[in-house]
Amino acid sequence: MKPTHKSKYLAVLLGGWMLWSGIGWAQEAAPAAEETEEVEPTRVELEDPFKPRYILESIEVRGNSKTHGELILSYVHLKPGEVLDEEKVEISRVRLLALGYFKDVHMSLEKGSERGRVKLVVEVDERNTIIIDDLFGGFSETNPFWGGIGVSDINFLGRGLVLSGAFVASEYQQAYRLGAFWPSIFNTNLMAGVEALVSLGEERKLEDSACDRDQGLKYLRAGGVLSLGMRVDRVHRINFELHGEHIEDSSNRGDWCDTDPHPFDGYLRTGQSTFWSLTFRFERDTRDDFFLATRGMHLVISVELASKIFFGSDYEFSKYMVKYEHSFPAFLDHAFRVSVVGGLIQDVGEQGSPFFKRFYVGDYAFFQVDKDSLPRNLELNFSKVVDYGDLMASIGAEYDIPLWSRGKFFYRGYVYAAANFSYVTKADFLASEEEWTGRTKRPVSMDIGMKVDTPIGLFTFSLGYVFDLIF
Amino acid sequence: MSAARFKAGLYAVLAVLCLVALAYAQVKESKSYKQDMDLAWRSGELELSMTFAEVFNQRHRKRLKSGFTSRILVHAQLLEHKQGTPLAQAILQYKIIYDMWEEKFAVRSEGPKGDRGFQLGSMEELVKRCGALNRLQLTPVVELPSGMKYRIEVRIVVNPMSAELRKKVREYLSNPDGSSHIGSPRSFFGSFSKIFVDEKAFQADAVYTYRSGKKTLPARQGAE
Repeated sequence: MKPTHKSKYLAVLLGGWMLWSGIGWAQEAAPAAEETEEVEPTRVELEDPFKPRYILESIEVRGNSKTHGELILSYVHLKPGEVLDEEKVEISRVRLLALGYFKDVHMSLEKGSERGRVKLVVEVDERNTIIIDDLFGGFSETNPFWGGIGVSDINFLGRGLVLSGAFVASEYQQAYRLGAFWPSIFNTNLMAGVEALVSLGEERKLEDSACDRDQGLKYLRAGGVLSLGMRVDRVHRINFELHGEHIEDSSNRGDWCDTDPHPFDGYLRTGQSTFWSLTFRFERDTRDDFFLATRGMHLVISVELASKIFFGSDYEFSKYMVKYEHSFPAFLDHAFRVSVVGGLIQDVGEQGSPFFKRFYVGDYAFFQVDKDSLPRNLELNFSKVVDYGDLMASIGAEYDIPLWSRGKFFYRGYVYAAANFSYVTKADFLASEEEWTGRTKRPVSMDIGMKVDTPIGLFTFSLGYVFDLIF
Repeated sequence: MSAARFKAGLYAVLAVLCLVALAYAQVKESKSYKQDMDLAWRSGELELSMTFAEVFNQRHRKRLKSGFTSRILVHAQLLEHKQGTPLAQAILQYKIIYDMWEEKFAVRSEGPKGDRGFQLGSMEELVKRCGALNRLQLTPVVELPSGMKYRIEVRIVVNPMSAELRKKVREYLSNPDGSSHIGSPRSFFGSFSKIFVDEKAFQADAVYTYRSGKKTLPARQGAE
C-alpha cells in the first residue's frame, strides 16, 4: 500500500471514530430517552411508621449445592453489625441474579438473638450453567462435511469462572479451543482470560481456468491469547490482549500451479514462523437489553499491533477496527437496528499480516446462495472462497419483532429481517477482477430468521444460512 | 437446481417454521385476566369493586413474610370502549411489612380516600383486605355521560422497582463477557457465551392486568 493511501484511509477511519464517539458521548450527556420515559409509580414521600429498624446480626446462604458460599456472600452488599438497608438488599439480589448462576434469589429475614436484631437469609435456586456457545455444521465443495460444538460452564467449580471449549473438524481441517475467563477478579472491576487454540487448517483453492488442479495451503497454528480488562463504569470497558502463536506452513508448493500472482502469495511465511500481537479494545455499551435491544448503542474500537518488538514476531502489521451499532424503538414493541463496521490493516515489510488476521467478507455479510460467504468457524475457512482483504466496510440494518417473553424453556424469542452491505478488498487495489472471487462482487445480502433465549444459550435460526448450505 | 435440492430446501424451511411454532407454544400462561367488575355511582362518586386474589401466589406470599417491605400498586382506569381514551382513573398503593416478633402484618394504604394504616393478624386476612378493591373511587378526567360504552382495565404491579434502583440494576447487568470481538464469525446456531438476564424482569416482581368486557355506563345517581 502506498503511504498516501495509508494516510487517507487512516484519516477517514479516525474521522469516523471521532464522529461516532461524539454521537455517543453527546447522547450520554443528554438525558437518555429510556430514562425520561421511566415511570416512577412507587414514589412514596410519606414517613412509614411501620418500618422497623433492624440491626443485621448475621448472613446465611441456603440452597447452594455448587456455588461456593463465599462467592455468593461477596456479592451481598451488607455486613453484620450494619443497620439493614432494604435497597442494598435488593441490589445484592439483582447482582446475584445477573451472574446467571441462579433461577431465583430470595432474600428474607429471620429473628436474631434479641428483638431488633435479624439474620439475613440468602436463598438461591441454582440453574444449569453449562451452555452451548456454538454449533457448527455444513458442507461445501472444498469440505464435503464439517461439524463442531462449543460448550461453556459459566460457573466452573462454583467459583464464578467461565471455562469454555470448542472444536470443529472436517476431512481436511480441525481446530480446538480451550479458554478460561474470570469475569470479576476478586469481585473487582477487573477481568482476565486465557485461551489456547490449536488448528490444523487447509485453505483450498479449487481448480479453475488459471490452474487445472486443486491447490492447498496446509498449516498448523498453536498458541493462545492472554487478556486483561477493566469495566471503567457501567457502560465503558477497556481490554488488552496478548496473542502469540507458533505457525508451520507445511504446504507442498510443488503441487501448486506456477501462476503470478499465486492465490496464496503472502498468506504465511514458509516453514516455521512466530506470531505475536498486542490488542487494545475500547467498548461503550448503552444497550437496554443484550438479547433484544430497543434503545442504546454499542461502540467497539480496537487497535492491534504486531511487531518484531513483541517477542520477535515474524509478522508486522497494525490493524484498526471500529464497530458502531444503534438500536431504536419501532412500531409497537419492535426494534430497528443499524450497524456500521469498518477496518483497515497496514502491513509492514515483506510479510505483513498472516492471512487469518485479514478481513474475510463471510464474517460480516449475511449468508448468500453459492457458499461464497460462509463465516469462518474457529478461524477455519470451509468455503471455496479464499480471498482476504486489508480494507473492510460493512453496513447493516435489522428489524426485530418480539414473539414472546417469559417462556418456560424458550425464555424469549424474536424474528428478524436483515440486510447487509459488506465490502472487503485489498487496499492497494492490485487484485484483478479474475483474482478476486469473493463476495465483493455481490456485496448485498439479506437474511430472515429467529433468535431465542434458552437456559442452554442463545440460538439463531437463520433461513439464509440454511439456503446457503443447500443451494 | 435439482429436484432433490429443492425438496431439501423446502424441508429445511419447514423445519425452521416448526421450530418457530414449537417455541411459540412454550409461552407461559399470560398474567392477563378477563373479569367482571362492579362499577356504580354512589353518593355522586364512581366506585369500582373487584378482587385480585391471584396476585397472592405462593411466591408472593413468601416475599410478604420475608420481613422486607412489599408494595402492591393498583392503577385502575375506566376507558372508552373503542378508542381506549381514559375517562376516569385511580391509583392505590399498599405497603406491607411483616413483623416477625409480633407475627402481624402492618399495612399502609395510600389512595383516593387518603392514607390509612392498620394491622392484620394472618395471611388470609391480608389477602381478603389487600386482594380486593372495595368501592375504590375513580376520578373522572372527562364528563361522563350515561349510556357511554366503556371497559375497565386494572393493572397491578407487585413490588415495582424505583427508577433510581433500576439505574443501578443496569450497571450490574452489563455483559461481563470480555470476548466481544468485532464481527465475531457467526455459526449455524450462532450463540454467545453468556446466559443473558432480562433487565425488564427486574422492573417488578410481577404485573397483572385485569380487563372487563364492554359495559354501558349507568346513569349518575346521588349527584348533587
